[in-house]
Amino acid sequence: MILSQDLTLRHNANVLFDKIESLPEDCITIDFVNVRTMTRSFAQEYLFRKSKTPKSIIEENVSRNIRRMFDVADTVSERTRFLETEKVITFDIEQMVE
Amino acid sequence: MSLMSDYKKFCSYRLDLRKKTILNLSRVTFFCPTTVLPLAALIKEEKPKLIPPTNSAVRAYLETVTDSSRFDKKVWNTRSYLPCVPLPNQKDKAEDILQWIYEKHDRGKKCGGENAFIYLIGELVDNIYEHSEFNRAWVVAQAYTNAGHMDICFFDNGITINGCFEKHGIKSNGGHDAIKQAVNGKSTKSEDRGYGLSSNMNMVTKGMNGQILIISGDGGMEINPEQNPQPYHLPKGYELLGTMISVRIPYPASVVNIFDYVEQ
Repeated sequence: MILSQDLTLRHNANVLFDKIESLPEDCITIDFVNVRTMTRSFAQEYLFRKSKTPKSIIEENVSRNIRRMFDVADTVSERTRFLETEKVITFDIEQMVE
Repeated sequence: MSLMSDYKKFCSYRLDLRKKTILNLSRVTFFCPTTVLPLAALIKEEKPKLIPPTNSAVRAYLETVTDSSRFDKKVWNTRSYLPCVPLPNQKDKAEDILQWIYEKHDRGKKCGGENAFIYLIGELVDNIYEHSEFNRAWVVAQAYTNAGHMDICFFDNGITINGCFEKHGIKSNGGHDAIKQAVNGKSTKSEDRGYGLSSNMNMVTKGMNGQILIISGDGGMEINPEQNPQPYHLPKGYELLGTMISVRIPYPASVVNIFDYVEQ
């Protein structure tokens, strides 16, 4: 199974695994040869589905870039937090410039 | 003009409509994304009496945004400027549209590089599909070469960030607080999610020296580099029926290593 070059939406990871699970084979090879980019959301959903599937999944030709995103998605890390914010400003409709 | 000024311009058009029951855009000579996307949603929802822009190019641009049947990729492939791209309601059809956006902008070659550009658009579009329950949504990425910046704008007419939180039992002190929680990684789905918005805020402001404006319901937030985020409470007249995220980055922008921001 060869993937497209940009793996973006979570939905598409689910479509991929729905397809995988419809196949009769127990062992599936997924070829990442064409994959150039992957969002964290896709990677996370992919890994989640992979952890649940009864199939054996083998990934081939995974670039360093894509492997790194898988590693990021597999780690629950501290998020950057914007802790400090300025005081809330409320706009006044009377001052709206037309 | 700042992104918030662009949004306030939309608010002033809407206020004018409320007062005069007619939307007079005759003197408009330019629309920026942060103004035109919520304006297009307003026009489609309310179908107001409208005096269109006198400028024929601006009128045609507005007509294309408000009438998605006029959006034809083959036609826009030949144009020198780019449209606001409607997102299909069906997720299965989204990938095709996203690929078209990436290719039209040379896969982000001048917008932080392929990884950063596609990550930004991909994650924020994914949020629209996962959370907003929209029936209308647009994405636009427009470079202003002379001004030296690019605006990338996402709009959906869905349930808002606060609306989504309320639906999942997450408490907040209004729209601006919901935005703050979302930017800080709060997710309605699970603890191991909620990275898309926060990592992109980080990447845009720290990695690209860009600015972000988030408007959702009665809340807003401006995030500028080297400054604390500025939250806004938007009373009636300024509120938005939906969510808009506007990003302004320098153009051209050099390549960004997204892993400096995604891993945090």
